[in-house]
Amino acid sequence: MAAVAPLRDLSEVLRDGMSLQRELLASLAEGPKTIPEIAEVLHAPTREVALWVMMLRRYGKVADLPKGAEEEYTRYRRVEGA
Amino acid sequence: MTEGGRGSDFDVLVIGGGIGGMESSLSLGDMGFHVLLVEKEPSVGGKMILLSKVFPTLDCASCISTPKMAGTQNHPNVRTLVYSEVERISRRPEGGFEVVVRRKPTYVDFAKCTGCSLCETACTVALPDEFNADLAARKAAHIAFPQAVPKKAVITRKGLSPCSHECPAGVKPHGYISLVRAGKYDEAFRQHLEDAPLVGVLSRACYAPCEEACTRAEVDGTVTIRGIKRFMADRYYAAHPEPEYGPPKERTGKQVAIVGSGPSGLTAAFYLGREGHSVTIFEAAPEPGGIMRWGIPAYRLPREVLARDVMNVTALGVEIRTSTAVRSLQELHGYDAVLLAVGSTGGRKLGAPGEEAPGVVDAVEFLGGVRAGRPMDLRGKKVVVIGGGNVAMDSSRSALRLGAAKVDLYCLESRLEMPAHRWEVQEAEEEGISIHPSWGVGKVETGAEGRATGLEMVRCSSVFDAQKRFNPTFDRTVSERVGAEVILLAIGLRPQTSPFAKELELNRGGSVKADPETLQTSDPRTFSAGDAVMGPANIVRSIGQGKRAAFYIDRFLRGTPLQGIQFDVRMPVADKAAVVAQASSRPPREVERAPVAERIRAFAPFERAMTEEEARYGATRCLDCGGCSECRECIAACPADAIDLHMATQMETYKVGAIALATGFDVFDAQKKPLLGFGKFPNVITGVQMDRILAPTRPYNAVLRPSDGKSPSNIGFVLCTGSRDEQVGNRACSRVCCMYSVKQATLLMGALPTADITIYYTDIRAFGKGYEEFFQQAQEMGVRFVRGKVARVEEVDHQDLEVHYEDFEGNGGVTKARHDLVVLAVGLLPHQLPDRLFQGERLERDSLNYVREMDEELDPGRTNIDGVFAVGAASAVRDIPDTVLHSGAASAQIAAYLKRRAEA
Repeated sequence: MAAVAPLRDLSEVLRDGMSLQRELLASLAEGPKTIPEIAEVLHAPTREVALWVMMLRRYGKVADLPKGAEEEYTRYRRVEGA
Repeated sequence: MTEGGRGSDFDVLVIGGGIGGMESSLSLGDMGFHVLLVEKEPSVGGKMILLSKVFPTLDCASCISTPKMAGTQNHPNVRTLVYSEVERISRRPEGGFEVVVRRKPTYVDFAKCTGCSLCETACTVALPDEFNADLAARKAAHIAFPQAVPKKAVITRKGLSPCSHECPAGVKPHGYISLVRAGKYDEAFRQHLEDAPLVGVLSRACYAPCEEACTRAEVDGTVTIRGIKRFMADRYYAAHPEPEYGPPKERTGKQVAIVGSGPSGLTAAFYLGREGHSVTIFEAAPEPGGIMRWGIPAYRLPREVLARDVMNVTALGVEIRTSTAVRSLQELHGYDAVLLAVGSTGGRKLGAPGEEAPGVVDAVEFLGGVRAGRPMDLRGKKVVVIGGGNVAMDSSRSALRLGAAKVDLYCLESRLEMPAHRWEVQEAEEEGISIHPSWGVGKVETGAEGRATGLEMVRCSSVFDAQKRFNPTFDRTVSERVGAEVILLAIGLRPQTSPFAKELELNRGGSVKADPETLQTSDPRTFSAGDAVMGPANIVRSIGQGKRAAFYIDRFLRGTPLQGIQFDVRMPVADKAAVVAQASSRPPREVERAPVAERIRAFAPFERAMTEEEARYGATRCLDCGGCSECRECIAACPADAIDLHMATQMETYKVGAIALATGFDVFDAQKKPLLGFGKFPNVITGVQMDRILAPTRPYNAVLRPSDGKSPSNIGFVLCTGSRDEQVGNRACSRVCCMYSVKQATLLMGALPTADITIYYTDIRAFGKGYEEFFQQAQEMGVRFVRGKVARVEEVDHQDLEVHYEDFEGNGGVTKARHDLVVLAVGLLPHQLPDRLFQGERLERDSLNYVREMDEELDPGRTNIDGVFAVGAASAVRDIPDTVLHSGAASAQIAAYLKRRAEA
């Protein structure tokens, strides 16, 4: 079994989220993306990107697109004016 | 009705605003009793309001809870105190209880707050959201959850961040750091400007006590606060060559004279000017700035940075009359108030023979000449500097830049005692200054023409006496001769207060005698600040004094009392230890500096400004020690002017007739079962978290797994996590885990129709009305029930999980199964009431540590303390229907108790 990297402290991840908002929103400028796709752009772990996306969603800067039943991942878009 | 006894404020105190507490409050209120409900969270509703649905009916938990919550909040006989905790309870001799309630500061005026959430959106600090079981973020300014009652914002403040707590000027580094982190650079500058107008000066020449206090220093090095400040100040000034504001429109008609344009004078002028007073600064020198203009070398503080800072003051209409010395307060008789902020620029004397010889120069005059463009010619000369403070360091380094062949620095103090900042000493040595600690001047030697040619130095044995007073002693048997062509004396400064000695009371050292709080002098209309009061200090302390003086001068001018009000009351500092635990290593990045050979050739600043990327990296190292950063974005965003960061804890005392303990339950911490992987693998979550994911006010847009936002397709539930488990000290069955897991499985079948759901159980306890049918229905829907004991959970590829379990049925033996999400059905635990809650009486607990009911069958809710009743889950694990039922029974008991007392 491969070694599992320890999860970073949640508070620390969220602090980084405040810093990376602009970059995350910029990553959505070209079109909606899934969390793994955003993570690839930001070179960040998907778990952390998921937290950041949900924070931006909560505060109205990111919205989700309808997901088809066969799709595994939701795609997120930047809300206009965010 | 008030049956609680003579003088009672309320008939009943209900502690806890969950479903049990609300139900009791409402039923007692309906009976006519006056109820005081105390809830520790910012909203009533307890844990039930956070659930998705209730079993077995699958009714919406919010739909059931919210009418109860609103009813409780608005009931005419119920007074609800949220965000409050009962500190202690004592029995009154005349009957009933006296209760002390701690009202925690919300920092939001609930009477004004409209629940619009604009403060949340603007807030720059993200914290784990406890109301979403840490699955998501909330802000320091937040409304607990969308259906909160009352729907009001509160601000999480864990104390003042150490950086902000430490700043003598009351600057809030945490605030502007959090704004830089969020990319709000102009806002960061403006936030600093609110706290101190000399942003550029402090970004270059402050000794940064904030950095010494920074919690991050205990992890991997302080946050480079001053460097980040320089980034934001430089950036702002480049974009704004002039201030964005002008004089205030409303004028008070009051005139203030300020003597001296150093850091305290300029700062006081800024705050008094903003209040609409007409301020005139009298400055003896040809340019404003005092020690900042004439005493600090340009490589530390360029002239244009100071000049731009001064514009922050003059933009308010403040007039600065340069080359205008004031020699008597009489010259200022037309002013309503005077601030004496003359600084301390006069150098002290050695008291040694020969010190008047040509070639012996006062260091402040030397530095002033350099800054005025009239530097001494030191090319090729041997220079000795006497002194161990920052002026000595500045003089030495300036001498080197003027071409001195060699610079030696001698001081009385040992290396550890030197008053210069550690980094100043280090930089001086890097540049080639030779430092000789523990030497005093015996005499100045002179040559044939009477010029100084050197010094006789004697060994200094000690600088301070037992009372820590300056009282040097020497060992004159140890001496050495030092040759010198120029000797710079930097052995201390004297406040320039002598012209006012006949008008004001002065202290022995020449400083002005002033009230330490108000800074008012013996002449009521005259205040004094900065070095004039403190003696030689530093810029940031003088700025703090200027702010203080402005605060009290403004009150004086408005005719409001100076006594009885405190300026700059700070909340306690945040707990560093708690914060350190949250940080992984992220070392600071050194800011590039010019090579030594290059830097000593000129007076240009040698430290490069941070790039945007460096500043933001530095800002992400901030640990948000205090929670709220005091960035004031919420204040700017709030349309109702409801934010009040000055709120403090209030203690309130109430008299009540009886007490209902509706304190609910705690939830088992799944990290106490480390083999199950919670806290280690992101896709192992708890039942509480799954309920949040399924709730209408969920943290995600759908049912997703936390690791990557994927819709799970194969979910496993592990029952009895932390229940019926002697290993974790909880042998009790939690009664609800089976059914809430069945409920969640059923809901998941609806949300994810193609998903496989497996429940690992040892036995299913479906004992209540409709529970068995609910269980059967789940089986019929396709939920797979596996009777087995889960031993461990491991992460495999794609962050999926492997559940290893002993199969009690089927093929038996130890086996494993793969899932992409695992839910641990965590058990319930008794809520831990503080042991000393009841003064002089001991509340009995049962063998499981729940509150003991003395006679559950015949007298439900009655505890061993007369007049105290347990409600709902305070006395046993109960599901929602049983809690509601028990609350009704306990309410009836309380009503009967109060009636009996009233009739006795």
